[in-house]
Amino acid sequence: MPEDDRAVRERVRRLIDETGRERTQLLEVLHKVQAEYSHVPRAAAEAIEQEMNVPIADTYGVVTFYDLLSDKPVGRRVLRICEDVTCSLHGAAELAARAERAIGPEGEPSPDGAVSWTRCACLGLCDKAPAALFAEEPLAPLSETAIAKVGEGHA
Amino acid sequence: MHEPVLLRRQGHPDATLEAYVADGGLKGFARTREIGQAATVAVVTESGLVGRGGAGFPTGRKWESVRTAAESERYFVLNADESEPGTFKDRVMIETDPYMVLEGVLIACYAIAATRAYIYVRGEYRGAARLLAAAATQLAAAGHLDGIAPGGRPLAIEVRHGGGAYICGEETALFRSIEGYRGEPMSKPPFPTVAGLFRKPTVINNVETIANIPDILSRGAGWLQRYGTDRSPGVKLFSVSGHVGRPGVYELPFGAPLQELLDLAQAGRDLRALLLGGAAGTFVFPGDFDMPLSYEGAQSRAATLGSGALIAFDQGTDLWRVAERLGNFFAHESCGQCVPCRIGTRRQHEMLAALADGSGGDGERERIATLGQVMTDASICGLGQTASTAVRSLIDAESRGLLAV
Ligand SMILES: Cc1cc2nc3c(=O)[nH]c(=O)nc-3n(C[C@H](O)[C@H](O)[C@H](O)COP(=O)(O)O)c2cc1C
Ligand code: SF4
Ligand code: FES
Repeated sequence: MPEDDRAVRERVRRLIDETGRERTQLLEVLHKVQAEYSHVPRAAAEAIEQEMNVPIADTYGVVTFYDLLSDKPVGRRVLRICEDVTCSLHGAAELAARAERAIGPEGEPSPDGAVSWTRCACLGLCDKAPAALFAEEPLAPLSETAIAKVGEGHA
Repeated sequence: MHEPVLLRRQGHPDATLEAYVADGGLKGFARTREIGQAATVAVVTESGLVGRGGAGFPTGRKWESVRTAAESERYFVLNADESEPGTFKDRVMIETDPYMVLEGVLIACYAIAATRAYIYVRGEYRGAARLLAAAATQLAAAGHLDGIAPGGRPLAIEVRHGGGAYICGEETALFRSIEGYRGEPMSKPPFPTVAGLFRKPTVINNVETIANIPDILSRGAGWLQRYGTDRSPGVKLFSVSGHVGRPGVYELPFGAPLQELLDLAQAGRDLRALLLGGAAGTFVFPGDFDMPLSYEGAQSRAATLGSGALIAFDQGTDLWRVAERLGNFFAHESCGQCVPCRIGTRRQHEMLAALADGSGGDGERERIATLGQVMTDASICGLGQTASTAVRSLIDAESRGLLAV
């Protein structure tokens, strides 16, 4: 087993220790794994199987179900641009196009792995449309300047 | 001018436990302990409170079935998953007054003898989740959770973070999510009050519903009826966004005219239409802006209040483009479990995209309406059942000539 896989398993074991090993804690554990590795790596799913008795297939079933979790690496900080009804009235499509130019293709981490961007459904920030989250915190109203800063790593 | 009730502490600088108690907080909970479980539920039932999460079910009836359930293990779940497009009132409620929301949770847990409380906050609401967790910690430290759980134990309150899935706001999907599974709804019955979280009797309530509880207890069963209409007692939070001067959350008594809400939000006179009730709501046109904002008032105009979301569109808005966005939302958020919804929401989105691009063929509108009927009839949960409601209201409005510019 490669050395870093071993480290991941060890780290995930500790996350499970502090969160709880019952199945009901699975989503909470996965949130922490995602925050740490910007995705849920195979070695983490293996540790979850051993420690929490959740089959690897189940873990990935859950990971692929939820938008905030991913089975492939995303940026360490993700820019989520709302493309829902209210935000689309306030230029969401243009902002997404701007993100594509400033950061790269949707869902793909920048070369240094620092950021990625994605479109998302209503964030419950419609009063501040056009809305976005960056590193899970509100960035609203979202501006072209803010996107440029994210792209340049200055946000 | 309506004096806010639920949002009366808006603008107060510090939402601390001390400030809350100094302002009369926790009186409702004290009353609950005084009168006991059965009488507490009776007050809630008598008050006429119905759920604000969309379904409008009488809150006291839910509580009573769990209170009198045979099983001793039972749960209370606070639904703070708020993900209906255009809806942000629960977030504002929590940000304004986290302690009032938690006091409602304490009263509910005490009244139904809950083993444990779960607060499920959508994963995108980090700030709201932090506020609720901090408030729960403060309440525990001050001893307010002591003796609430059965056997005189302190109540355990767990804050859970959603994973970013609209469907998890549906109660049975939410339970699956807490249990550690994909958030796929289950057919009902059995209802949550019989077999809910972990298959145990469960009360699940929306944030706004629960925020009403402390005042109902401290001011009495008749208090809620001082506001609103006979059939819709109380006040309602409305989330207003889109083409208005002052988007935000507004509180009004039920029955207030829709135009009053538009005026509060500084909507201009050039509105083309509104989407009322969120993605599963209906389009409303200027001829109906005098509609009373009550459950029966909306119904009389074939509309729905839903979660109280209102999105305003000015004359320059292409409503078919809006419909396309709605189609995109449902196609993305369908959990995929039932075929009519999984395939239907995708087909619906394709057809709406074609209509928005002006490339929809003859009979596209009829096909959308037929597909919508199939989804309504054959889907197991509310998402599939209402995925075509707004779109069909738009098609209907067009046939009545309301879309002509
Ligand atoms: C697709 C779907 C999404 C829902 N989303 C929410 C939600 O985000 N928040 C909520 O309180 N209720 C939501 N509901 C309604 C819940 O299933 C449930 O009726 C509600 O939480 C009960 O609380 P109440 O009686 O206090 O309204 C949703 C229902 C459906 C069908
Ligand atoms: S109607 Fe749609 S969202 Fe609801 S259970 Fe079926 S597939 Fe899932
Ligand atoms: S529509 Fe974008 S935050 Fe609600």
